[in-house]
Parts: sequence; C-alpha cells; structure tokens
Amino acid sequence: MNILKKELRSGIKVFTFWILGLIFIDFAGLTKFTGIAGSSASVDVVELMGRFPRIILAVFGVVNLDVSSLGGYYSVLHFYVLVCVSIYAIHMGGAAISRETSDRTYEFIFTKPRSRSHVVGYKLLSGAIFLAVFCIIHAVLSMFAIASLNLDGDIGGPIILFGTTAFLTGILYLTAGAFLAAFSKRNGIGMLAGNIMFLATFIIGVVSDMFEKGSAVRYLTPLKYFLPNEILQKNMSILFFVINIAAVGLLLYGTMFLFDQKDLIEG
Amino acid sequence: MNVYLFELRQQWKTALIWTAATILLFAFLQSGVYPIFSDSMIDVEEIFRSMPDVFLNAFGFDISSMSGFGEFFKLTYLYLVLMGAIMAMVLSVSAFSREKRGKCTDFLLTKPYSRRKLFLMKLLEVATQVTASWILIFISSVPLYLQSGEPTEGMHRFLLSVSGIYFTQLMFIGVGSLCGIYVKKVRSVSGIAIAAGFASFILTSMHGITGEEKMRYIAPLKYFNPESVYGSGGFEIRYAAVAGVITVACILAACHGYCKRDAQAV
Repeated sequence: MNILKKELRSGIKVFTFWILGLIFIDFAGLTKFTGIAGSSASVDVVELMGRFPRIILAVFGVVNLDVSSLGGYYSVLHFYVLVCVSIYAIHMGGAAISRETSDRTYEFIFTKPRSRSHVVGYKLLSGAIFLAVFCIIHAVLSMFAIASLNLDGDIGGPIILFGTTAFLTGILYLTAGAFLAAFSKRNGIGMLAGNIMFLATFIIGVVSDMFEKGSAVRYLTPLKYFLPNEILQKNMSILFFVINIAAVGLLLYGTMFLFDQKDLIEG
Repeated sequence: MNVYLFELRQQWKTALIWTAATILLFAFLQSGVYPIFSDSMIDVEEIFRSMPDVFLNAFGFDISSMSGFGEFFKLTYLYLVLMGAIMAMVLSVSAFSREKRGKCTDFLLTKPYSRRKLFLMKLLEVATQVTASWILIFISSVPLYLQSGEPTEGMHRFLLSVSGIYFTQLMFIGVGSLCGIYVKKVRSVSGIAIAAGFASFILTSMHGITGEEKMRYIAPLKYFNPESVYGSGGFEIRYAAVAGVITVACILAACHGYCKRDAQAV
C-alpha cells in the first residue's frame, strides 16, 4: 500500500500536464464544432463523404465516420485523446520497470521485504489508476462541454463507452511498455522499444484504414481494436475485447516472469 | 572538432535508421498507395463534375486539384513530416542531454573548450545529420516523382514541398536542444521525442478539423505547408517567420541554459 501511495504522489505532477492537454483537446475541439450540420446541405455531405476514396478518409482519420454529426466529430477528437492515453501508458509502463534502476534507487526498494513482482505490480496498478482517472475525466469533460455548449446530438452513452475502451487500450499499452522494458537488458533500449512500438502501431493503424481489407492488420494495432463507428452504435467488438484482456494478462505475466529474473544494472 | 566527430560517431546509426524508415514510408505511400488512390479518384471526379459549381465552391473542392502525384503528397505530408519531426527531436535531445544521461557532465566541461563552443559543436553536428538525411530524402524523391509519369516541369514544386519537411526539422532541432538542456532528468530520449512529435501532430490535426485559422499558428507541422507551394509557388511567409522565430528563440534560450546552468553532481 505504501508503494501505491508513493507512486501516486510522485506521478501526480506529470498527470496534471496530461490533463491540461486533455482539457485543451476536449474543449478547444468541441467549441469549434459548428459542424457542417445545421446547414441544409448536411445530408449531401454525408453522401459526398461516402463517395470519397477510402485513402483520403484514412489520412484524415475519418473512415466510416460522418464528421458533420457530433458523434463523428467527437470520434476524431477522441482519437487524439487515445493517442495521448497510449503514449502516457507506454511511458508509465516503461517507468514502472526501469525508473528505479535509472535513478539509482533500486538498491533501496528491492531490498525491502517485498517481492519484485509485488513492487512492480503496485507500480503498474498506480499507472492503471492514473489511466482510469484520465479516461473518466475525459468522459466527464466531454459531457460537460457538450452540455454547456448546447450541442445537439445524444452521445452520452457512446461517450462512456469511448472512455471505457480508451482505458482498455491504455492498460494494454501500459503492460506492453512494461513487458518491453522488462525484456530488454538496458533501460534506454526498453523505453525506445516501447516508443517505436507505438509509432509502428500508429502507422499500421493509418495504413489499415486505407484498405478495405485492412481488417487482418487490425490485430496488430490496439488503436484500432475498438472502432468509433461501432461505439457510436453503442456496441463494441467482443472478439477484440477478449483479445485485449488476454493480451493484458499475458503481458502482465510475462513482465513479472522476466522482471523476477532480470539482472538489475544501472544505465 | 573532437566533440563534433564524437557526436557524429555516437548517433549516425540512429540518423541512418530514421532516414531509411522515412524514405520507406515515403516510397510506400507515393509509389504503393498512390496508384490505388489515383484509380479511385477517376470515379470521384466524375461525380464532382456532375455537381453544380455552387455546391463545390461552398465546400472548397477544386476538381482539377484533387488527383495527381503532388496532390496525393499533400495528403500524406502530415505523416512524413511527423516522422521527420520525431527524428530531429531524437537527434537533438540525445546530443544535448548525452552527458547528463551518462552522468559525466563534469568530464566534458572541464575540458579546455568554452561551453558556447561545445553547444555550437553539438548543434552543428545535429544540423549536419538532419541535412544529410534530407539530402537522401530529397534525392530519393526524384525517382519517385519520375516513375509516377507526371510531367517533369511540375517537379520543382514537389521537391520544394518535400523540403518543407527539412525546414520543419530545423525548427525541431531548436525545440529539441531546449528540451535536452532544460529537462532535469532525461530518462528516455525517445519518450520526449514521441511526446513532442505527437503533440505537434495533434495540434496540427486540430487545426485541420476545427478549421480555425488562428490555430494555424500553433500547428507546427503545417508551418511549411505543401498546400501553399502548390497554390502560390512558395511557403507562406507569415508561418515560415513563426517557425524561424521559434527556432532562433529556442536555440538562444538553449545556448544560454547550456552556458549558465550548474553541472549536476553525480
């Protein structure tokens, strides 16, 4: 419990910065939603968008979305938040493993009468708590912004689902970041691997959006596990939900296994 | 000169790998995806032709400017410049925080070298690598353009647009030097670079989706927009000036920090 408290205290500063970014995205984004909706031509826009080549839509991140509606517009903003969640999660996952060695404090903590898995478990738990709070604040902010700006469109249900799926994606990246850090011998390399993994999944995500048959590549990129057009219909893929949870479990197990045997060295 | 050569030795591999990855993505998009794109555009253009002009103007669609090699580059530019920005950040943050990370600042600073000279050497080294990488990207964009079968007289515009990536990278060298010097503990160079790169990406995309003109000033990846190269033949001076000011301000502030800051005790 002490570990958790200490981790939460020391992480709060970074968390605040991420929240500031989140507030910017949610508010600056939503206040600008005038939509093409409202104008009489909005129906034509939907039709027009449908005829656009998929590649263009993928580049703008609006595949299968109608950005003239509040839901579609919100999905695009949500994707930016999802990118933040993922980067933040990878960072925390990597830090849970390598922070003590890179700060030269591992001799203090790992000589305490607690197992390594216990310490790392609590560190990851604190990461998961930050992610959960982040996603909750994201959902609350969005609803608040939509209510205060009198925007049309009932997307309260999807917003909660967006928050939940962002959390699921977040813990997947959290455990993946931890796993890669535990797997690599040197600290710098572990963090680097995590960041490269994110960049790769991001690019794979865009490319898989470009092609109709991209669904096979979807397994490789957690950013596309829960698609906004499904969420807007208040539904999410059970298959990918299971994959997500299973991956988290496996990565967590792998992290603990590798970290127990890891040779703790500085640098 | 020793500092310069040492830094060059330390990170030429990183620079090379990033350059190769950027060129691969560039080639994949411009020669792999572009043919599919241009096929699908033929149908779309027909639909657009059948629509009344008023409607098209209202949404800012210009039929003649929707397909074409350069037009496709306008679309993919954001992702390429993102790669470029992250690369410049990685090299710059890494060079300027190297001694801090290795906890050997005192070794370097006790050498008979002024701090300003050290700073300049490191800056010069990062600039060299980014420039070398740009030359490779620039050269590789020529065959990419030629194999697309576009008329050669339009090539200078394409090459100028590609150079937008380089100018953006120069700005990120400045930002990176500032981060490398002022961030107290640099635990992960790639973490800072990815965070900065994607923050810029999100700001730039926010400008795109909100359509708010003022947000263009905080959309770093669109300071050198290929859109304007194809429109007016050059970059918009206003935003290029913003980028220039940011670059110079960051470098001056970083140099000041490097010359004045206490060397951290181990």
